[in-house]
Amino acid sequence: MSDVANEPVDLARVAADDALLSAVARGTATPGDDDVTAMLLAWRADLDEGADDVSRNAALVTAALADGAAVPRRPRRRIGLAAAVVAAAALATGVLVGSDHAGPGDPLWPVTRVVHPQRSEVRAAEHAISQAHVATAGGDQEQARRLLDQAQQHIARIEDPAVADRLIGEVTTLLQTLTDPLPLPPIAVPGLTGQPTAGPTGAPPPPGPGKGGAPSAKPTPGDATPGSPPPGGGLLPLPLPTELPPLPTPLLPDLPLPPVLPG
Amino acid sequence: MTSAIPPELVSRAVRRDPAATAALLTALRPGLVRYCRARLGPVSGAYATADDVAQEVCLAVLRALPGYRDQGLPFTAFAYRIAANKVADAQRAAVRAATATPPDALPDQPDGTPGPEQQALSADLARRLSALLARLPDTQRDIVVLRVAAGLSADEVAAIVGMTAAAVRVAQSRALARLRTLAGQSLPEVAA
Repeated sequence: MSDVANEPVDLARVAADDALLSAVARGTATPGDDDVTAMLLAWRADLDEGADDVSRNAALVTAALADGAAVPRRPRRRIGLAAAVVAAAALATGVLVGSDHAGPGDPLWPVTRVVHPQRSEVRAAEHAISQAHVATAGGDQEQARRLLDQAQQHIARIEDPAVADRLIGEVTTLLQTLTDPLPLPPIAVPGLTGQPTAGPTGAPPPPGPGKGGAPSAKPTPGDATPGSPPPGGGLLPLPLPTELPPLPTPLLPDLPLPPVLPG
Repeated sequence: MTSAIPPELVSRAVRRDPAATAALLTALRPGLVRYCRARLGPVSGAYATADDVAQEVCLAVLRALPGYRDQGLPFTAFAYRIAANKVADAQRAAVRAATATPPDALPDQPDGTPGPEQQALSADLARRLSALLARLPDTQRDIVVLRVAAGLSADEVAAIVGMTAAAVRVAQSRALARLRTLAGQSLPEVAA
């Protein structure tokens, strides 16, 4: 069908074309009066623009190596498992795996999402929480705190708000049982802990004019904090609006402990 | 600048040596990026989609590394077969998306962004070549893409497409002949 397919092979032509393609790929070809050579050079240059950007290489390598020797045969199944294993190892040794640190908006975030799918984030968080329970039972509060901090980092990457809320609730509950005088971290905002969203402080009054809405448009400070109040007298938690709590992500990317120290 | 990845580098990377893995990626990546761009083309004038696929390819290659066994084939054959699969996946996904929601703007419409004349000329030449490549038989197009965009040798391309190196050289020569014919035919209408 092709007009040239059945022509006899011109070996000199074949060799010249081979050399031409190699030269174009190396960028050493000169267009001459051959339109196709000029087009090939322009095409290659167009494809080349920024192609050697290596800024994301380190993330890829870290991600691939962290993925473990757990084999690429059935990636879908095993990635989650491998990530959980890696996370467990990180928890045991206190070493954090590099690619775990990427957050939304970070250049590494797409990679992290590929390598550490949601399911393994949930598993890693759950694992950290259960280990924290064990540490608490053993009296090692420092370790428990560290584990909970790691759990929060995993939770911060969970996209399903319902799952994230449940896990945050578990973390918060456990944090409250720790007797360390440090104030609770930012996520332990009243309203998140157990009671659902009908927060006493910031809930805006229902806008419906005719409905007999609850008349409690004013904040009632009496039952503001279900847990124990922070030790510093002037450091009552800020009345954050209740729409905020489900997404603690931006609050705790790299903070192992809350910034406020006891007075 | 291209290909000829040292086998010892590959075997160290297979053994999960981080430095070797990074070096391997550095050597592979530009070619893989250009390959994906060439195969998938720009969307709305940019290669962001192709680059995302290239990123996935890089990750897939690195993840598949522990299973790589040197069986006489160049490592690039291993990598670019993975790339070809990923590109095919992306194309299928694009077809599904296109049938689900009719596109507002055709991707091959000329880019309206004005720029320096030289750049515009060059971009025009590049687009013309892409259009001509689309009219080549699949194998010939694949070979040109692997030779020029990925920058692989005829021997490496032979291992990827399952032909002898000699057959690749003949096929690429025929591809060029056909491109020259097509370019000659399309010249007047482009110039107009």
